[in-house]
Amino acid sequence: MNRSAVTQKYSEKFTATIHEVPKIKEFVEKTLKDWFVREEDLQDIVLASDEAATNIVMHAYNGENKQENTLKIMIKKKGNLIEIDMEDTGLTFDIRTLPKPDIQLNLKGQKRGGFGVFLMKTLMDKINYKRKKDCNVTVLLKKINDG
Amino acid sequence: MVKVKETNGNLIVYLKGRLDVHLSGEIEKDLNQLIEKKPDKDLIINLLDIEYMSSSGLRVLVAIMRLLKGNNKNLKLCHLNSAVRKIFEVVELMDMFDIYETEEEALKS
Repeated sequence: MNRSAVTQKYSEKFTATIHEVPKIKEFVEKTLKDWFVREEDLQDIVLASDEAATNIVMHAYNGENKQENTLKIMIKKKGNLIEIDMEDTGLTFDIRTLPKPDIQLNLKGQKRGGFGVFLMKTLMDKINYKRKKDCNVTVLLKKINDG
Repeated sequence: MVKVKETNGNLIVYLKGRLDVHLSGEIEKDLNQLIEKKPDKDLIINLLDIEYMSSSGLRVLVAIMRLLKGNNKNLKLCHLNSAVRKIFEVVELMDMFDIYETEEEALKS
């Protein structure tokens, strides 16, 4: 059997509130540590997951911070590919459509933020999205260094 | 959450822990109040004890820099760890901020 092809996966369901985002980050971080993912890849994936979860809370759920809003995270490792699936039941929200941040507008105070999605897109290799029944499914993918 | 030291022309702020979506709002509020009380001071933010920062933290730093510039004052950052520095590099903000290795260098500049 080719050991590198074995898929390992963990999933957990969270409340989609800003108070839960640190717990989502910790879940991803702990799982990656259990898989001995190297520190640089780990930091990139953890940050991208934090940014994705934050955007889902703020956009798909409009920052409502309601206890009934949920975010299911599944994290998989197949060979050197890490995949993080995030499933929410909020409004249709394709994270990829958020624009690149405008630094000058931020400095003028005409716009706040927009850095998260840019970080996510840069730190991961690919972001996928699909609407499945009443759910948004956002998928983050990154090839890690096995070295 | 925000520890402050005052020198002649500067306020030095020591941030600790996580600068993420959960805590950044509170930190921004504290920094805004500080600048309101001492509008004639430059601000040095020492990030030595920041364990983790997300774009929410970056957004706060940009907002604070804008506020200070409105008062003709400067924001300087020091002691960025490699993860924090990488965020600045990825979003191409290194040139927008005055970044120093140490607090002493920030004070001397």
